[in-house]
Amino acid sequence: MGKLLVKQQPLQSLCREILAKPLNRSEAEIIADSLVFADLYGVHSHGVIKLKASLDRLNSKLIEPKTEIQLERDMNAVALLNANNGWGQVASVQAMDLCIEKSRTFNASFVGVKNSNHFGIGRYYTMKAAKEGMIGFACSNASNYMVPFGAKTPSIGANAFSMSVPTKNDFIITLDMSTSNVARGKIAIAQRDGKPIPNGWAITIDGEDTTDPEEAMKGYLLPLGAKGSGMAIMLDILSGILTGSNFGANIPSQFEGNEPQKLGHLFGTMNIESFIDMDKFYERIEVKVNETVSTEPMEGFDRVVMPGQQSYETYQKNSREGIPLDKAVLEELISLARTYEVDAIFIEELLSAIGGEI
Amino acid sequence: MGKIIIKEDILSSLCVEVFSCKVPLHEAKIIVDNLIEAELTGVSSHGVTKVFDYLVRQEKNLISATTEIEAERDEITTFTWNAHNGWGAVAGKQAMQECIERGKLYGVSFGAVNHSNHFGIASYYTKMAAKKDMIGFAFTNSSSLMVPYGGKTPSLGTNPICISIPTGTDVIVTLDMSTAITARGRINLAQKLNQKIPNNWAITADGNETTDPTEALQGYILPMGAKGSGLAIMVDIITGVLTGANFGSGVPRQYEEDIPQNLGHLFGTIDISKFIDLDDFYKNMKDRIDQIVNSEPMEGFNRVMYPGQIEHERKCEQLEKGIELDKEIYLELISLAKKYNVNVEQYEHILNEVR
Repeated sequence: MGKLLVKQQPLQSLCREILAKPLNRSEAEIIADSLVFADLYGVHSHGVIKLKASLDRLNSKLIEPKTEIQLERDMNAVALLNANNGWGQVASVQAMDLCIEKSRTFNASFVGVKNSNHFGIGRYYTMKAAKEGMIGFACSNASNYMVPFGAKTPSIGANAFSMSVPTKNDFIITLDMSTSNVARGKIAIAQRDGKPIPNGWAITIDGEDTTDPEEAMKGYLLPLGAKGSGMAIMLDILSGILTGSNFGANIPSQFEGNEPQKLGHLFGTMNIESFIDMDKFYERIEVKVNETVSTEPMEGFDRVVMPGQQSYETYQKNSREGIPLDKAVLEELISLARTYEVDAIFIEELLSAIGGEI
Repeated sequence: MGKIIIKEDILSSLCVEVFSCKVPLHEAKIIVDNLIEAELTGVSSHGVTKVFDYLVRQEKNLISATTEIEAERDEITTFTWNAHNGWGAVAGKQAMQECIERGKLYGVSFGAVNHSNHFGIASYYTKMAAKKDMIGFAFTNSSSLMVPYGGKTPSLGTNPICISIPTGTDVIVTLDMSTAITARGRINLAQKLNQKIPNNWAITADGNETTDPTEALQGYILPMGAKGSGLAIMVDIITGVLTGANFGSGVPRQYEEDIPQNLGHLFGTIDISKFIDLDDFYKNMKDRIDQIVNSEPMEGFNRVMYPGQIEHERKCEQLEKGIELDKEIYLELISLAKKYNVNVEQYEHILNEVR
């Protein structure tokens, strides 16, 4: 499959203009920024490839065109926002901003979001906190695709957890992990390439082991062992039950479902300088980074990296050289742009950025 | 070696008598309470066997007999305490109490402890919060015995993550997991039984794969893949780097090295009722648990459980019937008690009864 390199700016502008047709421009900007951010960091499964699916949900009236956020609870270091079935990214940016603001006063805080939709990638929010000298946390629940450890039937999502820690330079230490054994996207790729998958990735709809990606896609994901299953359950409670959102088996599928997902998210921040002098923290974090990256690698490994280091390097490369995207993804974007009657200049810009026609 | 069944209060009283020969009684009670909770919940690696490890270090003056806590930072919802090389369990319990009080006021609280020692079982603290209708968090770093993912040399402990969530009943959903692929205790067991271990559990001191438990114990533990390694690094940062304690390869080993460990812990609370009415929360928690335990099990599994279910069931069973303990450990406790001139008559008497 051919990849084309496309610069961030024309890609983001085109996505923004598409979204700005059915949505407010301010919301369109946030969503486009979050999608392209994912592609910049190499997390293409959460990038612009998601645009069409989100718009499909909008057109099926499963997501509101305008995110009317209500502050349902606000008490010292805690707040709860109701996204009223608006856009996950929009509500989440507001929630993380509020969380950061609260931690400037209280030093540690958590803000929940209820009745929301897919929020994109978690690090988009946790890295915001890190840039303010804070440690950021984000979690969300998700479509009910994963079985608890040892079960045949699903009652959890591959619930993701993200955490970011600042260093004194541009690099932000970031763990952004799902609790499944592998991402569903990896199974989709195996399906596309017609290759078998290892046992342990997924089970069939009848709860049997499978190496057939087709059966796996119809079935359920397996968690990262008992520990991954336990984490997914805890994240479901923190993001779903604590916020008063849907949880577990009650969450309809993002793609096949025909009702609002009512997802929940939880954001957290800790103000580092309330624990230790910032200079001292940065000195110590540098020691931690250095001891990790200077570790002699085991056989079969080139090097040892910090959490988020590889994606940071991808970000640097993609910012410089352009984001590698499948031709089909770009074709879909252009076709969306035409459907939404986006000003031709934005399509032209994208086309010229990739060297003309596709 | 055989097992004995012993009532929780008797085992506890023996351990307190032993400990209080070396540390003030009120601290002895806290340390032992933590060890007994570990025994009750079936986590015997963190149970009364730790009495010996702790006292060995105390006798070498590697742990202070009394825990003098000093507040270094006090910042509304957060604080940093220096435990001055006192007992991890004592500093930990006090720090969690502080997090509970502040969490009740502000909704959230996180407290750091530096210059501490092994704090026992993490769920001891998180359950304190859960009993107050809060979500509790506890993290600690530990001896540098684990390699980061893909590395040959250690710069991590098997740093645990622990979260407890109340259900409105005596059940507390608790995830208490290390970030290693397996517990060191399982490698010890394989060594004892003369069995091979899978090649992804540990590496030799030279960084090579091994299936030999002896080589593994001389070497280093492997993390639970890239994700476990990432989690361990993050835990090391919030418990070590953030708190001002030792971190990474700077943490000396608990058993082999004769210097204070200067471990760091982080405790946290979220007050549930600040987010949602408790009745609604508990109703949904019941549904959440039901969804899990009512799942049809896969082939090879008897049932599906919520996090902490095995430990909860074990605790209920052992509170009723008594704690199942290696006889060898009990005998060692008694001889240690004798060494400290504790009157062991009633404890030896029990041994006759159970025989």
